[in-house]
Amino acid sequence: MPIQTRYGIALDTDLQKTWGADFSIDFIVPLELVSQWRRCGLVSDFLANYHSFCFKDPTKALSVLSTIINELLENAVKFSKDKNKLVTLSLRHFNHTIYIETINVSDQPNASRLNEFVLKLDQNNADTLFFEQLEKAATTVGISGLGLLSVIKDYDAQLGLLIYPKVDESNCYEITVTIAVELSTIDAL
Amino acid sequence: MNNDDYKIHFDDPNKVTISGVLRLQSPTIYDDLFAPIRDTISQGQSMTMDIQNVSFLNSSGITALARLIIVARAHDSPFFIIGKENIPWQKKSIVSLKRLWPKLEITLT
Repeated sequence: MPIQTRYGIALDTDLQKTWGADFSIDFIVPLELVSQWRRCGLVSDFLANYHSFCFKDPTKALSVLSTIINELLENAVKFSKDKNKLVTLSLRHFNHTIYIETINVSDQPNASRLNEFVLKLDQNNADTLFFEQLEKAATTVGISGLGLLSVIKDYDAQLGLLIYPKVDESNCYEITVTIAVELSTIDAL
Repeated sequence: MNNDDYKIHFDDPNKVTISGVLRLQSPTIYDDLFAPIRDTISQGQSMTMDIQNVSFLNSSGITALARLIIVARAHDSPFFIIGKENIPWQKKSIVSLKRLWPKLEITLT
């Protein structure tokens, strides 16, 4: 049975289709090339910089936005099925909220792991879950998975997740992750 | 240990100063980088990490830091972290690491 999940915010459709993103970029980070990994940080810094002037303290906003965007982007790149596959990153500033969204294509095990993650998140406090995962990650080699939890916990962010099977590719899933963070939360830090 | 993005300097065997941007690909890569720190605290010795000039650390880095704290906890090795109040990720993520080990000393300047 293919996985199909709709969780949290921004359930209807992706950012571009809903409102048109303020900024959207499609790019590829070949995961095999460690030197290319820096692109995640470069893109995050650029996009954060682009939006930071809307805030009372642009330096602080840049730091927070870049942190959040980078965590989403690293996840999307790491968990893409084909390591050279396209990742779409979009950002939208609407009223008092910043929405950041990534879309990538992943396989069944990754889709299943994400699905289990949101089920856990639904039943547990993000703070509690973060420390459980941190203890687990500290004793398990190669597993982190704390990016989303740290964003939710540290910046009081809301999460949206869509997982849909790709109709044209078997065992492939389109994964849309949306994070919404209030401008006031960033200003208050 | 230097890289275009970050610098790791051991002022003495029990004090390390890290600066720059740390956004490495996985906790395992950080483990290699932090190996001398782990060796020191595994021997029950104290460690001071000065991260005041680390502008970014990703969640893989937080995981690697948590691993060090858990080693310090296991050996009851005094562990001090010096950070900066006005760097948002330090204020949020580093302070919350105390929950892993209440004896962890964190100073934000």
